[in-house]
Amino acid sequence: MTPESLRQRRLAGAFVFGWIFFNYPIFSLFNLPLAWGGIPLLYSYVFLLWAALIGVIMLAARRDPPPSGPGR
Amino acid sequence: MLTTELILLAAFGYVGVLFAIAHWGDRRAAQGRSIISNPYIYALSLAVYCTAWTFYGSVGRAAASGLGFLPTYIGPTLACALGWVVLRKIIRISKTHRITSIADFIASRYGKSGALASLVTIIAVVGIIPYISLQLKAISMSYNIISQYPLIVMPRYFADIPVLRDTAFYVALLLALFAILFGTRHLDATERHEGLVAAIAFESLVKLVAFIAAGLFVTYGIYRGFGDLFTQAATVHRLQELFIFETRGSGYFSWGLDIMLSMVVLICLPRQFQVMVVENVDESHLQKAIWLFPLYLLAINLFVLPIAFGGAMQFAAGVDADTFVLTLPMARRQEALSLLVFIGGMSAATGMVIVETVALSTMICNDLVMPVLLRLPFARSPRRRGLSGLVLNIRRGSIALVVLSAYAYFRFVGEAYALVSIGLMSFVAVAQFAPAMLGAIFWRQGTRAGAISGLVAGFAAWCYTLVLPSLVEAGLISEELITWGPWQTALLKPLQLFGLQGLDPIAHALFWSLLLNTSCYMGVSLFSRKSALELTQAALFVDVFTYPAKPEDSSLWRGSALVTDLSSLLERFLGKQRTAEALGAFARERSLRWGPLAKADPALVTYAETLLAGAIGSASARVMVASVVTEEPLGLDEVMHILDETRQVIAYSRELEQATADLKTANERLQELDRLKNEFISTVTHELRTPLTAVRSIAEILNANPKLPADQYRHLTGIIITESERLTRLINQVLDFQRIQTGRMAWQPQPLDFGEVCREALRAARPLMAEKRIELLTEVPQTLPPAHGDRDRLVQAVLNLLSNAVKFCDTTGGRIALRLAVHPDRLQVEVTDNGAGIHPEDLKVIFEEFRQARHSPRGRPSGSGLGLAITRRIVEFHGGRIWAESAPGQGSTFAFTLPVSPPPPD
Repeated sequence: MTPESLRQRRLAGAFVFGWIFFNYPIFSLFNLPLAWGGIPLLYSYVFLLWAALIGVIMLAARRDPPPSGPGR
Repeated sequence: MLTTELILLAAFGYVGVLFAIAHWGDRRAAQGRSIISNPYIYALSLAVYCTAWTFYGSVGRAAASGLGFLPTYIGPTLACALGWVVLRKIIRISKTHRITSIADFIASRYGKSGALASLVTIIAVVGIIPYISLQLKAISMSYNIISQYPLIVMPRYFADIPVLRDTAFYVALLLALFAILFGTRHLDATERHEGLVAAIAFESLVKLVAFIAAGLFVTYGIYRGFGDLFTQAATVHRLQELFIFETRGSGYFSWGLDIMLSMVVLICLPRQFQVMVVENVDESHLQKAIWLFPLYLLAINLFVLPIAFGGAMQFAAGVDADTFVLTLPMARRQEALSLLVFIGGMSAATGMVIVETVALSTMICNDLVMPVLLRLPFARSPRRRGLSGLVLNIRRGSIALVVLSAYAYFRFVGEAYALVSIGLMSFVAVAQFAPAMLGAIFWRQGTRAGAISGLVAGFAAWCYTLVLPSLVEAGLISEELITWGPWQTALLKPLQLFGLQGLDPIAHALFWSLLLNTSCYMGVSLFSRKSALELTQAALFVDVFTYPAKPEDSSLWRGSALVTDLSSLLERFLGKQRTAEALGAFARERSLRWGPLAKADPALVTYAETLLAGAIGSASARVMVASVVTEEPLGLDEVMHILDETRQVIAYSRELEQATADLKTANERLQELDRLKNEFISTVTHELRTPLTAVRSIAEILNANPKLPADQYRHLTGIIITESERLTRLINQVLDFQRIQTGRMAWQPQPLDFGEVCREALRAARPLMAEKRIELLTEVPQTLPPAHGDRDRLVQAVLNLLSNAVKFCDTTGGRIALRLAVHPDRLQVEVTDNGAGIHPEDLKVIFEEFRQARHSPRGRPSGSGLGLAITRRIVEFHGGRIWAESAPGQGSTFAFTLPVSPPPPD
């Protein structure tokens, strides 16, 4: 697999991860009248998930270092 | 004190700063020292996505519906994850074909269709003018509020203010001027505006800082942090209800639809296309931008909920939630912060207006006005020179027209709506481009007819389900239409089309319009035929990464034209100097010299068409080029043929590269083998010479001293015997190896007792061990399951391992263990010594022929280097496995397995 197609697969994975966790039914698991340090649970969930997704995109988009050959 | 003069000074001063930045950016670009050529500025310019809708409207929406504002920003984040695949492809295609607007993109893909380009332009203009008007409304509203400071008064209806006394009117004029100055400087084949992008990036920074400052003030200045703010909000029943997402009706479905809407809109909005694709300096900037831009969106939305809840708690009714971000600092007498927020809101609004009008003006000029103009005799006449001025003036006129129409819409229609609903309406309109757009880059079967019918159907559905109700609300059409449906037909009610209920108007319109759009696009595409040009463009778009980077290298054109005709055509749009530069570059690259009557080759015609496309759009460029060349239409077969050829050439060159790489590896391997063989020959000859020398010198001694005492005589002849035995062993090894290698070894498989094999090998090795005083440990069970194999070879294998162990054993206190273990399916032999061990590097290659341990602390070991290789072959012949385990200084274990009842080897 070339580094480029690996990157494309990782990013597609990031998208699927984001789409699933931002939508029903996972989304509904956090839609509860609870608070977490005063902050409503759903709000914390959405913003933390958002930040995590951005982190995943950042990692996935990064260029891999060229693979090191056998050191002989 | 915030006086009117100070506010106006700040507002116009801010616009002045924008002019200065844009001017500076353009000057740096002219000097070749671009300031926008890095991923950070690129990501900031993408943030033109955040408009006054984000700045003011999100808070309003949050105050009414909690999280409802958020899908608009989650969608682009998800779209960015796919951005590397989708956006990069769009950028590559646009750069290759010099596409400068979304209308041009769609038209160019479906056979450079002028009709399609006009259709896209009309939808974009109609859909987006309300969106621009929203920005003007926001500027006007925010000015009217801040100018009442310290009072907080919601503005009256704007209709009461005369146009000439309305600040928004002057701001609109100023923005049009800005767009004209920096968006239409010259007619260029690339249509990039560095100064404009620099100013937009600056605006993005200003609005972010202003909004976060307001957010921090509300969260930490008025309240004691997020927890405190939400805890207090929880005591208000109306606000507490917003803590969870409203799921009655179609809550989650609408939420998902909204996310999808903003995802596709990211590639369909003309202004996003402008900053993301047209103004992109380097494709690789996308790599960072796809996470920087979502990060920006996250940052600017972090404080939306706190401001919404803070405002709702601080103000009684009567203050519009859309204005909380401004009115909260005002109510707390924060003059500087209020002014900063006002400027931030202005930056959000102006950035959008500027880029959107520039993008729309390109489309209006290239795809609406030029096609008509170019059909008029005066424009086609070759005597009329210099059309570039005319093109630029048309664009300037379009900018003014767009801005003024938006102002008019705001004054006469847009009053009744909240910021967000106007914006969402525009979103649904431009989302209609998505099927044709995505089909353009991924679906080869999409046709012009399909794209046109999809767009028409989607646009019609949008008008019916969104625009019509808004006209009713504005009082222009009787309300009966909404409540009873046209002709009293309930199934046709615009807000509950075909009886679909439970969706909010936006989700309802989005669902129907995209459903109709996509089905028409796909259905008609599958049932219509493509012209040769459509086929070509489809291939060039969908497989852009497999074709050459320059369209002229894959020319699909045949005909004849004079070079002079082409160059005078280019001169009319690009001017003499730019034309000469462009043609000169082309000729230099291909080492061409054109005489006065030279014929243009297909590559030059394609090159000229691409250059023109950058200036006036692909459909018009095609018409113009066709006017000077006599074209022979290409048949479908020929197009397919040429396309195939181009692809084959590329595929072939890739195969060549692969073959070269393979050859190189093979060659390296051969060289390595050659080196090893040389080493082997020198080792073996050395090994042969040592015993030979000994034998010869002893023979000489015996010859010279015939009367040697008997014990010395026996000693010396004893040496001759052992040395010649050593010689024989060595020669046998070489012969054995050669026989195995060439497959001429005569194997004699028979049933055998493996314990007996081990004992025989031990008997043969015992003298060697006795000589070195090595202690031997054996664990060989008396009864063993019957095995099958070549007895002599197996004895040789065990003996090889034993003599190998002897060779590497410690010189004093050496110990060797031979263990035979019985497993259900196999026997396992282990020979362990307590020698110096084997270096990990050597462990990998020790069973290969001609290899010897190199990293031995005692120097190079003696022997041919074939013993272990032969053993491996013998073990493998019997279906077993051989390996070694060792660590330097820890001794080593050589082991192999023998299947208990293998199929009789032949």
